[in-house]
Amino acid sequence: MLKTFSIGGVHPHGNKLSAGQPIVKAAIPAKVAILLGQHIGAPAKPIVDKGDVVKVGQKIAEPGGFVSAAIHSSVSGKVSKIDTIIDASGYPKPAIFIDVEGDEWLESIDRSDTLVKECTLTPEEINKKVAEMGIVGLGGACFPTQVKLSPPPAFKPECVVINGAECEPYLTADHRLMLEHAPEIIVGVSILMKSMRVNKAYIGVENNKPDAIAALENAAKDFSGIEIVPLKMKYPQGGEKQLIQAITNRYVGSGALPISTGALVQNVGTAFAVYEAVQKNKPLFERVVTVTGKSLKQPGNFLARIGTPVQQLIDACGGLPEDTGKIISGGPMMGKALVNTEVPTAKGTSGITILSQKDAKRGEVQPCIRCAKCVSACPMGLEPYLMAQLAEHAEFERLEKEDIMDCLSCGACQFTCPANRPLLDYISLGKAKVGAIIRARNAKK
Amino acid sequence: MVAALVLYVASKKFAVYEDPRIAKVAEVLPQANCGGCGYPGCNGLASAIVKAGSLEGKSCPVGGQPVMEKVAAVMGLVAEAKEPMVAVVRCNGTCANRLRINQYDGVKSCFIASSLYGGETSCSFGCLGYGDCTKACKFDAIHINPETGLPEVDDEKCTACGACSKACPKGIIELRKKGLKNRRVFVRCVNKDKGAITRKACTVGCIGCGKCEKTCPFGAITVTNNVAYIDYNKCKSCRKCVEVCPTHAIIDLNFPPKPAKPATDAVKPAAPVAKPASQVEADVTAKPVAMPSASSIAVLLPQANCGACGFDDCPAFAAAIVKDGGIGDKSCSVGGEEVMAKIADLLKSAPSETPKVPEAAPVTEKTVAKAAAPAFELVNIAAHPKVDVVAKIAAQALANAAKQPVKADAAAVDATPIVPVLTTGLVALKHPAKTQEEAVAVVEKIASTLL
Repeated sequence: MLKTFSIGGVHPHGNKLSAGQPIVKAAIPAKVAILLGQHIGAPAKPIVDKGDVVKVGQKIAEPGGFVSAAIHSSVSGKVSKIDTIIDASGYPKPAIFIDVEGDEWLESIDRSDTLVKECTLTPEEINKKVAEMGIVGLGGACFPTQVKLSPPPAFKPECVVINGAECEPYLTADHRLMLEHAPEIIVGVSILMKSMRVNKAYIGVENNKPDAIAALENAAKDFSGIEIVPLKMKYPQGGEKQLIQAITNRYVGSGALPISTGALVQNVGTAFAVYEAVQKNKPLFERVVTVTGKSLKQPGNFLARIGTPVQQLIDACGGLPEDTGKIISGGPMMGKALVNTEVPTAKGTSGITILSQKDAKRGEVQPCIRCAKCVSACPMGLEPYLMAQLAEHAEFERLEKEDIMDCLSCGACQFTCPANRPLLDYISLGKAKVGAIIRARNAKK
Repeated sequence: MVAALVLYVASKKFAVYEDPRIAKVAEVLPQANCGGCGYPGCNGLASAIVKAGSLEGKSCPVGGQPVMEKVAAVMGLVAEAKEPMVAVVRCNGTCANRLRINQYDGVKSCFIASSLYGGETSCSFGCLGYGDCTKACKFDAIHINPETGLPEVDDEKCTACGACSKACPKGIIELRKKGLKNRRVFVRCVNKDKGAITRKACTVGCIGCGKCEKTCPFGAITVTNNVAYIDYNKCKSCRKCVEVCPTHAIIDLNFPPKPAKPATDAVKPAAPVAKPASQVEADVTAKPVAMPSASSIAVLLPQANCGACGFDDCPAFAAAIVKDGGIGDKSCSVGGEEVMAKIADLLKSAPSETPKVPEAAPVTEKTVAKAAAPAFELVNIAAHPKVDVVAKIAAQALANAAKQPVKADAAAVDATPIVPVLTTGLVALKHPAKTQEEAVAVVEKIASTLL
């Protein structure tokens, strides 16, 4: 029997419209805006000034703290200004604007397609390289990878778990990457294993991608200790805690770090980026972005430079459909609706999903009938209906006792609710308030 | 009987001594338990007062001075006089002033919406209008006006407890001095964006031009982060800032209407423009140097008419450029380098023959689209069904900017407010998805007042 996580989960329709579209290089835009805060943690500090000439891959911003990441130019050209731009959050955020001139790469980057299997670096050197190249977790959270690769000494890593589940509907970026770059991913995984000093790695892939499973198995033949684990389709399989449980059958305790189970989770995209950084000296300045939607003329997968305006990617797919109701950065379950299409892509932009007006509209809210579907759907074993009500009535102390901070905002509860209740809206309200209460308490101590 | 005995003994043994003054103080307090004083309910405040033995730093926002005097009497202290305060909403982004560029269909809560994104308009600082303040108010003193979509405070009911101010995730609501006869002057905007960005998002936003700061005789106004703030302790309500504010972001409340001024004053804002326009003509005939017309420069300017550049208003600034035959050391603090670069480009690309001032030749729609292109990106909306209307308005606006058809009566349309409204209309047209109808409505409204 295929493995999957045991608690909760839902089965949204896959809608993997662009699964058959090979990754194509997106055109280099005339201007890019590279955000300084593309990762979790402190925003990066710019090290270039207005008028500076930069090359592709040149570092343009230093990490702004321990949990932060370096940022590299995705184009060659001149820095036109350092100003704010509306990002996916709808708020103005600082960014470096570059006017593109030509496409001149740093000479240190190996641009050949040859596969470099041998990694001679020590684990410390690998971590240093990963930090230098600005690698962050490409599964969506954008947590700086070098921080994750250096866990607190109290934890002993036992295995590396690679997330190839891509459980989010519509998105196919990871799927195409696994199909087209399986050998590179496997080398990337072996580098991650070396960095963590473990000799076992699992790559979890949902069984709706048999071609990707076959490609990875074929590529992993020459490597010992890398196992491909086909998983039964279920959302949110790609959640860190869910994936660890599905593959290793270990539970991450409430409030505990996932590494406490001995498993280090990374996305396939991150494994590929680590391969390119360590073996090819290539910083993270481009990534695969799925552009998809039912009314879109040609959904596709693009290798886009960071900072490309979303509009340009949509244009490459035949333009914005007339019945567009919502443009989402990411997938329909966890993505964020964009306020305009001039938003630049960032390291965490895994896809652009365009929903029609019909699909984007929320259903009419009806009273809760206590059917407990949300309780069965919650992958963390929480009670979403109760938490939503407590948040609505500002019972924040109770909410903390209901373990609201364990919620991963996957949206399974709201997806499954037959009364269209805005459960996640209220739960995120509760999470924000309880989070602030906890922070205030910790600050007092 | 035994139980009664047990109870009697227990009540004597475990009796907790409570200062009788606490109950007395609590008695005179309003028992609203609003928490506005910063203590958990009225009893909380009472015990804090008794414990501290003084009234310093403690006050009851609900009861105000009369209640504090009663408390002082109970405690045998003297209550210091405190100026009454009131909640003030510092956003004037009504539906007409601030165009919606997207739609939010989540739970109607400001806190949730603001944690998700910047809001339905391009102004990420302004009021969201979902009424978290209304829900927080225990005195029924703040309500969302359905017409403007903004909260309005009932001065009579407001106790200045500050609950709405705390509930507002955007920090728009401030407690300010109530003022004599409820008369107050304040900046009704908290937008920290640069002037040009604010201007595009909202017609009544503070652009941080600093004109009020220079005008204020009492040093009560400071401009920080591109937004002006009036210190209510220093403000003497002279209202000079209200007059000079180019975007009408400074509001004077509850003042009696000003006496009707002679007609000369009514024409005043437009008058300086008329002069430079004639100057331009004289200039053009005097030295046939390749210079664009003042009006074509004027349309590039933000039309804030703030005077921060040292000239009376934007057209005067443009006229000065034409007169001097170059930018020289002039600069526009609102538009910044972007606008100055556009003007420089225009000067460079000026045609070799002397351009005609718009009033000499009737402005055709085509030329308008051309001249206005760098400022408003008319090109982008060329395919819009209402483009002819827009072009007509632009033509009118340009003609107005140049020749100033100022009429003596109040119906005179001066170019100054038109151009910004026009900008907003065009900006709205650039977002075809949601606001098409709204944008067309705005454009048509402008058209009907103009043509």
